[in-house]
Amino acid sequence: MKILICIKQVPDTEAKPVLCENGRGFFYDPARTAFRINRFDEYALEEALLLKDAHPDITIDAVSAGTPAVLPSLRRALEMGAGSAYLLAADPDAPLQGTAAAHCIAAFARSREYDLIFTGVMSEDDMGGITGPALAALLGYSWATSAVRQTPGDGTIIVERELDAVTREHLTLRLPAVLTIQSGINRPRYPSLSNKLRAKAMDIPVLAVDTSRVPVVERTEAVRHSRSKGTGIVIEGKTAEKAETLRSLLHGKSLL
Amino acid sequence: MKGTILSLIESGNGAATPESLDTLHFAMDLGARTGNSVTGMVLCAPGTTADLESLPQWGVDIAVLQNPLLDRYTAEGYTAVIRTCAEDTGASYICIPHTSGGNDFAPALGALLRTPCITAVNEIRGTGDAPLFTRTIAGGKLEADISPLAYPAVLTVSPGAHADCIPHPEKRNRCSEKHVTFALNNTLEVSRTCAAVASSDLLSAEVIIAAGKGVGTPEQMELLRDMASLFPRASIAGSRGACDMGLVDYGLQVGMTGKTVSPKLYIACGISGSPQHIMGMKNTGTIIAINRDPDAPIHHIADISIVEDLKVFIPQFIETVRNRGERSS
Repeated sequence: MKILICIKQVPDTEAKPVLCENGRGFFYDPARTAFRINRFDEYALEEALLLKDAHPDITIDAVSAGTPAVLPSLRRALEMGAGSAYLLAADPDAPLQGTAAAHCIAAFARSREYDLIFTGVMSEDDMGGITGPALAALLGYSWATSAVRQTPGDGTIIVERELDAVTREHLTLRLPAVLTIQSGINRPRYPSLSNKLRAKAMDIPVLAVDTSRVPVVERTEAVRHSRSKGTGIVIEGKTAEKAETLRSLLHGKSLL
Repeated sequence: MKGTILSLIESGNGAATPESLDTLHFAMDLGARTGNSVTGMVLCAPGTTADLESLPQWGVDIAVLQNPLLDRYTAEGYTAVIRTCAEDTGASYICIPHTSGGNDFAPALGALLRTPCITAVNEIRGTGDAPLFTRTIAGGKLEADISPLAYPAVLTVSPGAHADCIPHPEKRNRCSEKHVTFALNNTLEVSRTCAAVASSDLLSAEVIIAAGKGVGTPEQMELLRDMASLFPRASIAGSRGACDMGLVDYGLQVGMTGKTVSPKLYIACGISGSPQHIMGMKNTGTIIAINRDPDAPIHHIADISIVEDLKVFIPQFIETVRNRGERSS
């Protein structure tokens, strides 16, 4: 069985986005920003690694669409246990989000005939949740989002989806299939030393993306800082002063 | 862009869901801005249109698309039926609730139509031929206005993005029924179950102390429990991230995939404030945010913000309250 994991590299939660002067884009200062694998994609990778632990003949490839800046996250996927990793090189000025990323990955995956493709339910930064279902549609595969359990069988896969806090959907889908993996369903492993050494020596092929085959379907016209709803106050002062101000405010509202 | 605006009406418990009504209202707003008519789509098995009775009279067209295979949601079925409906009607926009169903198939619909899928739209900007759609990005720190370059544009609409629309009893909806054909090739079985959940006092709590990933460790979780003991009728809760880290039980998760709460006071500790979390707690009386990141989006919706490391601030706050002997009971 061949499994593909789609990985996105994201900035750390506390990273500070900087607006471009033209107001149509933003970037992160690479010197001041830590980047890592999207947390949801780590759960997707771990889910594949657990399958491989049980069935060692499974092969796992990792892929990311982006610039060479995302290579560290692909290296990390190799360290965790992916067998190979590929970078689909994109134009640095045209970040590949959502549908565009799905078109790139579909072009890569089509001839490789994966049985299963896992990715995170969404990215932590854009929260679009587009890549998985869009990729499945382009490849003509089955799909399910927000998977919390999956059991591949002979030509089919049983999937449990999380719909809300209490409701689960149980599906039997024909393979090949794309699943987007919900967070918290496993515990992504730390790379072993031997895997780290193995990954260090591995080549990550960089494949050019034929952008003429990626339809441009949307354009970002403006980006700005999220607005405050405008009624909140920020308590200033030293820690003890802030604590006293908060106590007094809560007391005034009869909440304490 | 000219063309009918389609709006998906999902049903649950025998009535149109609140998210569907939000979405329909969004579609009507978009219709007024672009000069397009709106058609609500109901997908169901023949003879199960009772849900329509619950729809407010807004004077919109309702297309009831029927097939025995539509007795339950399948990504494959919804994608096929709505794609055909969009192509037949020359739709300009397809509005879908941002729910576990809508998010499951909307991106596939956009990919197949080779048009954009813009998820979790909060706002429409501008009028005329090409209004823009606003969504939050960068973990909620930024918002972007996006223009579709191909149509029909697929939009998933954030719950609560539009205030309730006033029904017009004199404007009756116009319903039409239509049989639709499609096949389920990849979906072999579908069923639903409800997980048994331990009863929790989360929904009745007047004060909720909520943990985010920023809480970090079980030791710091104890600080939150200590703080909770200062308040009567208080409960601990957590963001999805805190639950994933094992700091809080999933039964106490607040947000889109957890519970929706509306206590008098919500103290968000180390929570960044993703839109998915905010959906679950925005109707709180007073929101306090304790987060050392001044740019964390939780500060934008908080009534009171404290930009401070929670492991420094919370012990200080507990001490301050205890010293004043103001503890109520």
